[in-house]
Amino acid sequence: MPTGKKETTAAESTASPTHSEAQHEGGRLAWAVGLGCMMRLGILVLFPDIVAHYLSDRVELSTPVTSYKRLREGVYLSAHQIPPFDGGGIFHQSPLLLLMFSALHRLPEIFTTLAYVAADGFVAVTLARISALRRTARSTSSGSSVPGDIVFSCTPSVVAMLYLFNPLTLGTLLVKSTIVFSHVAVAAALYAAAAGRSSAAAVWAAIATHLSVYPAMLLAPIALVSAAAEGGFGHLDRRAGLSKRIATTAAVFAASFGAMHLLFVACYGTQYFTATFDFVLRVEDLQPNVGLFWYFFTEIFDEFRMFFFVVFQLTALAFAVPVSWRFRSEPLFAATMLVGIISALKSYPSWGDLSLFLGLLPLFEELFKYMQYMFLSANLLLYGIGLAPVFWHLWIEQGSGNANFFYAATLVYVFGQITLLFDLGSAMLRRELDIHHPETRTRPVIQD
Amino acid sequence: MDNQELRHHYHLFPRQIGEIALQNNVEELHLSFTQGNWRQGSWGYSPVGSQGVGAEVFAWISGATQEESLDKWKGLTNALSGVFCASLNFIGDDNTSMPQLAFNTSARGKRSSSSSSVPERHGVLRHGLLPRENVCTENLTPWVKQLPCQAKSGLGALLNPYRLYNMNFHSMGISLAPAVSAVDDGQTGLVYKQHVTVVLNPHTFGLDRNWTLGELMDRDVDAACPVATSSTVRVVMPESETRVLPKPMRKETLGGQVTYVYDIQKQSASEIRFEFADTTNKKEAQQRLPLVEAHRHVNGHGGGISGGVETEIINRSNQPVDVTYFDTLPWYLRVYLHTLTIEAVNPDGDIFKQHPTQMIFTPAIDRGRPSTIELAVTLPANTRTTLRYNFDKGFIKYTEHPPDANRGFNIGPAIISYRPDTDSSGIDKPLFCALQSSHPSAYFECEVRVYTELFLASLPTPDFSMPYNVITFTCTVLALFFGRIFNLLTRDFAVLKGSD
Repeated sequence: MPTGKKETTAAESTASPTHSEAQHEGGRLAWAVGLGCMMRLGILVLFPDIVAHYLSDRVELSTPVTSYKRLREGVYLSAHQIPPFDGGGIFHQSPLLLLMFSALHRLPEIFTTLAYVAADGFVAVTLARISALRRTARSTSSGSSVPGDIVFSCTPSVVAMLYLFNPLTLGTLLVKSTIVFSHVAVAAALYAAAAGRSSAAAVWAAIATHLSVYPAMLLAPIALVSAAAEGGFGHLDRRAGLSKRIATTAAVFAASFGAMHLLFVACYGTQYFTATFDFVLRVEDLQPNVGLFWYFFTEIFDEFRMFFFVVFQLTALAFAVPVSWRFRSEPLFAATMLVGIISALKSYPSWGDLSLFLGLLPLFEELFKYMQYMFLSANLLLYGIGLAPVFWHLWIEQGSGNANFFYAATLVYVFGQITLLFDLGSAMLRRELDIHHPETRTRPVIQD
Repeated sequence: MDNQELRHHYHLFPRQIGEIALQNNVEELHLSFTQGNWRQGSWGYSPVGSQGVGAEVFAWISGATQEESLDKWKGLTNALSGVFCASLNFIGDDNTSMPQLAFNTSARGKRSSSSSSVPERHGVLRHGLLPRENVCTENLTPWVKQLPCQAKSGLGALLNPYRLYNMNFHSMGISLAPAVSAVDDGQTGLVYKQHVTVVLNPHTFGLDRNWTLGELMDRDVDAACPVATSSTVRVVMPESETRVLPKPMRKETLGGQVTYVYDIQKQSASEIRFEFADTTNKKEAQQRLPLVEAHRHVNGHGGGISGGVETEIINRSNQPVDVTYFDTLPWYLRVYLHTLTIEAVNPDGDIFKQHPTQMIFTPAIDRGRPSTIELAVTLPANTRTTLRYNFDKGFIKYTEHPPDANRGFNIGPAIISYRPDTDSSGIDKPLFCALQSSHPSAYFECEVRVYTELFLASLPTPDFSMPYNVITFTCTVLALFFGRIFNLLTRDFAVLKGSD
């Protein structure tokens, strides 16, 4: 139940932030991002041996499709005229990264470090700007707040700080996992959509799809976000413009995806498609990670392999449109839900995927009071994250445990994410009910 | 070479081998079965050229298309598997490699120092390795069957499996190679060889310093093979006081070593007696150390999923030697070529970083092809060169683990090959090269191959008792996800009755 103190602050702060506040905010953001980037740069430059010894080989942080070691191998092979995608044995990352790092590796190594740190900083700044856009949209639109909302304690600088100082994000950056660049593309796509620039958003989404296959699911909410941003955040009133907007976004997405595909085929042949997209969809490399796929496909009988990979991938991909449609009044939330679904159910997840999801969560702080299972999901996630390295050590390095220990930790981790997703979704639905049917605000409801 | 010509030689030439070779378009074939490690530092050069542990087959096969030559390769391995009662049929796509630098492939067609030229090869070389293959009497019996006199007379009668397989190192094999006859006006033909190598310790059989060849092998050889043109025993004399009785037919010096040659057609092989003097120091009886010696091991901390392969090559000569390094790793060991380093250390302790003069790398295809590294490296004089690269252990499906999963997989040896200086006085030439050059009808091309040790790669295993449980648990979590999100998407809220 909201306290009296919060009600007064609610009354005060429904007006948009003043100019000096915005300046303070900008200053705090700059400090937060600067500190975060300095910390990363410092650790990478001063303690590379500790990072290499303890973190670089962690399978929870780097997967066969995001590993920096494999990226270096791909760059080396292509520099020595050995086709990097030949046979698809070791290198499974996008040719976009190959081209980028072939250029970067000609420069001294500090430039690669700077590129990674800049990418993380970019994601933090973009998340902060999305949060700022959402704040202004919400404060200007009427009828979308409920008395007792926790108002605006997650300012943009707080959002950036929560993303940058999340240990999962830090760990992902220190191992130089290339999921960082996928986050850059996804964050840029969401920001461009929130700012109403649907073509730019579609191009960024195509880049994100090339970098890691699953952001293709985000096309639906991105189209809706950019449509909503046209008429101000909030309800989608103009149906006629909506279908046209979605069609344009999809067309730009397809065109940019196709153009990049043609470019890569010209550079590396069609083998790259088998080595990247097909590889991710068919889960060929069974290296353990924090997802569900690896142990399942290690133990499944060969006859059922095809059936089950179709089932698993469909479970993840089929929810793109339904989730976007259900939450069409808050399409940015739909995008967050899909980022969460991707993080839980993609074929080669890592803690970095969770870090993006957790980074998008503070944008929806008004939902926190509706969430019922926070303690449970927080605990599940903490157990999953904390125990996975311990069980890995027991299995691989010490030999006194077996694979089931690590598998159990990943089950707990995925279940924690699922609980969080479900909780978040039902919190949003409850809130929508509260907004549209004020009479239910103080009464218990159930789902029918 | 076709069936018509070969048919005339089937009284000496084994018919099985001939027909297999003709049917599968084989231009040149080498097969060996080896068990044990050849101690290069103690035993020197192997008498017939080194072999690697396990079963090794390599052949040049001609074919109109790639598919045809691959089919013929599979036919060859299966046929040889049947003939020699070995599991050579397991040589498939995932352990066959196609070397381009090693095995003297690049030297084909060149004129050698002797007057005969080396015949050109048109076929494609395929090399298959089974490091875990065991060798036993079942392989020896068909091998002996290929000899014209089998085990009835001649030197084949000495092959007593009880003695041969009682020792730490034994190796046998066949080779079929094209040759240009120096005698018959440069006519091309095929030379077929069979070899057995075994290292015996007389003490194991209760013999001390005075024994005959017959006592050593526990067999009597009364007569040479009647169809043999020549049948000889050559004893390489150690550099110590050792008497070999009776007097040899002639003495020869080959490759800087004194050898006694006995003609078995005139005297019995089992009567050759060896008497070692009491003062014989075991160390003095050591063979010459080889010019190039190589050892390989795997490093990386005990567990973990990454490791490194480290090969140390010792060059004892005072000249730089050009060697070819050929290494094949199965697909489940993922090689990181960017970690390859080559360092040479000379006796003063100076370290030189080396670069290969040529590098050919064939990346692995999962379950389809092993990764092959071929490097042409120049070893500086009098140095130890260390080649290092890292790999990651892959995770394989639970049906792909062998029955004893925690033992791991044997990873076959690396092959370092070089051609010793052929126009020197011959001191650097190993015995088998010196022998070859004196043979009237074989072509002369001396390639010395050094095989390293194999290593065990034990991959992390899943729990083999768990398929059903894993499927159940994972599908439960997935169903929880699906059910909850589906509910979210399709159900509406209703006010709980009776709460007003």
